[in-house]
Amino acid sequence: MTSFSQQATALDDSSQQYNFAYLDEQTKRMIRRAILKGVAIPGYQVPFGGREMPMPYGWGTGGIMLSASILGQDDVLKVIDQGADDTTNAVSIRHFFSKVCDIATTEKTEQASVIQTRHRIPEQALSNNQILVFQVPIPEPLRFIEPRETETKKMHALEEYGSMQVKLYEDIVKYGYIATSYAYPVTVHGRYLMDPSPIPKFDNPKLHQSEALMIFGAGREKRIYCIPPYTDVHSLDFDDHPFSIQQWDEPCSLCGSHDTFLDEVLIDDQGQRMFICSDTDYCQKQQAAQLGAEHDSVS
Amino acid sequence: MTQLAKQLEEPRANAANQAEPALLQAQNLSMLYAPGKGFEDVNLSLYPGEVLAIVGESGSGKTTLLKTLSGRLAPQTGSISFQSDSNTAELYKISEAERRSLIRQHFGIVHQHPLDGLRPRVSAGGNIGERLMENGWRNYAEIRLQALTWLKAVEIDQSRIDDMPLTFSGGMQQRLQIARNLVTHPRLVFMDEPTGGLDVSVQARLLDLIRNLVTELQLAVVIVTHDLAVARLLAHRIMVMKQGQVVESGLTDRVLDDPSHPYTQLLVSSVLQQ
Amino acid sequence: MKPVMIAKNINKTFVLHNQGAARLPVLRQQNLEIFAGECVVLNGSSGSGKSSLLRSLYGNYQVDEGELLISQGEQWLDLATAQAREIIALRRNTIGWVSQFLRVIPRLSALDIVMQPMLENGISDSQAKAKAETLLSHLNVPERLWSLAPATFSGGEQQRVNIARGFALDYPILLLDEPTASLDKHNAQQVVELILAAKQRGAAIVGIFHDAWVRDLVADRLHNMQQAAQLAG
Repeated sequence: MTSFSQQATALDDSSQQYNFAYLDEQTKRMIRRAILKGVAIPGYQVPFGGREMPMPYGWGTGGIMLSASILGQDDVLKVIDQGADDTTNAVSIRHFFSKVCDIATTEKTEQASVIQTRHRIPEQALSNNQILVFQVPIPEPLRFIEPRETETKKMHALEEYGSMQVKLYEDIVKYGYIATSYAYPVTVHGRYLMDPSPIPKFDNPKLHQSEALMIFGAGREKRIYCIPPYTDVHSLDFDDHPFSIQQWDEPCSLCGSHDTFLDEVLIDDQGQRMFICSDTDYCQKQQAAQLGAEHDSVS
Repeated sequence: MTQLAKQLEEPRANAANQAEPALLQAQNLSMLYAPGKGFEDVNLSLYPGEVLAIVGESGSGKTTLLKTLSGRLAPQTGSISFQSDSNTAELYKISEAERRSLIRQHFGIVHQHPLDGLRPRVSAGGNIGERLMENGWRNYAEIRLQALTWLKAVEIDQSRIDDMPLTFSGGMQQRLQIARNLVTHPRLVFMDEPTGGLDVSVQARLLDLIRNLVTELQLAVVIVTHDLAVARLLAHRIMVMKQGQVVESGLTDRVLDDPSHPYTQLLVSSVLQQ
Repeated sequence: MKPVMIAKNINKTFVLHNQGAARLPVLRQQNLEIFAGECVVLNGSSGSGKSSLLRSLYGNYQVDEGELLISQGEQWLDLATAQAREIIALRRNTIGWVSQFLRVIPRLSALDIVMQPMLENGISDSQAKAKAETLLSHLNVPERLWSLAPATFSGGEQQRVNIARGFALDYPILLLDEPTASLDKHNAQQVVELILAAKQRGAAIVGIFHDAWVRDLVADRLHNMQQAAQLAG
């Protein structure tokens, strides 16, 4: 017989211990089933029972629930926000998972088995043993055209996507070119229209035939959708206004790359600015490589 | 005299016309929300190029009937078949996907309130172009050219192509809605009180425009109206509804000049003489 | 010779449901045969049913009993039982109607109104225009009005535009409802010429004429109306 106080102590001990990766196992199973369904129907939005997370909606709850459901003890987690590992959001999420499942984390893209991201896909090509988890604010690409959920569901079911072109048409009307530069709509596997989350359209080509599994989670809207590895992903466009990605006149001021997505950074009060890679890990790697090369040539 | 000979040839051609299949054929259609609410036991055939007016007072079931005829409300009983090219489709037997695709390709639907049929925050050109894009058009320049052509056809200044419908007057919105519907050259157009909320002078212009387009494009039209003058101007045939029942139908001028049903007589005699 | 149109035992009674279901017999046992190249004038006092008979021949009034047979090559089409679209087809190219009242179509010019029936029958634009111009000048419609919509025209001018439209196509059957009423003598004379020319080309004409002199000029024979009310009584 344990005394009442012993029982109370035991209870207290266990309640201080979160389940591995915060969510309970049943919830993780439910979410994994939704992910499997999403993988089976590429680009299709699968509803799931979202849980209250210890942070507000809009802070990446969708992505965190997905990561929590798929992380295992041997996984190595990387978290980026706008490409950077060192922003508040990325750091907080990394800490969160360190705390609730005590797994290894990294800032190096190639070392990570799970990468949770907000608004970017890493510059370095991903491999087929990696999973990219996207945080999604608004999963429905047709929302601009059609406010009714019942109607957008029907439009997906019947593949009525012509009206999506209207958004691009309106862009050309207003700006002379397709000005949509992020959350640029795509069709997945020749079937479902999908919002790739607010990644820059610069990253759209990386969705196509990606080796890594890509899964998208919208916490507030409680939707999961996926792009399985090696899937065709096509960005919408017009014959006479074909899809194109952003380009910059100058290379990254730090690493000199010409083919990466650059952020414009103000550096003083005089309006001086510079362009640097938004993918911090990639940028550092390029700089290190250059240093290494210089070092080699010196020695 | 050669003219006359030519004219005498015609009646035989008419006989051949009669063998031509109906575009839309409805049999024993009923849709009752409650006794007397909706419509009951409606039969009709509509042939290419024919304009049919459905008249009756509010609550007579005419708008409900239009919804069913245009594929937007399944009837409780009865069937509707639509003839396109050489195929016949049973409107409510085919799958919803097939029905919606058929509607997109062959039907036009003009709502009473233009903003119900327009995207208020999409430019006029985008509104006209949407149907083309739905049907697979992917060339911006071509879509734009079509939009300009149709703005002109419905008498909207082409310089307004990039303006939002919200900035248009009611009459212009209605004409834009018509352009949006006709751009894909549907064979059959359904109109629900298209001149409903408009000023009299604006109405006349719109009616004239509709009349011209109908003749030019050889459209078949089902138009719901409570205005007998509208029916007389546009329709070849007329169907009078009262409490969900078709009480009289036939040639427009016959029904209006020689009405036989008590209700039709009442309707006709209630019109102010000009 | 075979008639172009036969009316057999035509009966028609108006039932005014909203006036105590009053019954007004207007046509009683009317029989009429019309041949190509002749003009039959309906004769009778006011209220004798002339106008109702003419309207029945056009399908504008629905007869209660009897047959209205129109020759269609070897066959006959019964107007009394024909479908609406058959009547519309007949009206497009077989039966023409000329009345003194023009139903103004908003914004359509006088010239367009006259050309319309020809265009609907596939006659070329230039041919239709030439014929419309000839008719309008024959009827003394001033050329400056041709391109205007007749809504603002005088009654006489509207009437003449309408007559021009009625004669624009060489219909095998022409029904004339007092086409010369309220026209001055000169213009009435111009209309008479059109009627005679139509007869000449072989049209079968049925008409109501208010003016005795016009009637005398165009009529081959008279059809005397029998008073339906009296017969019924």
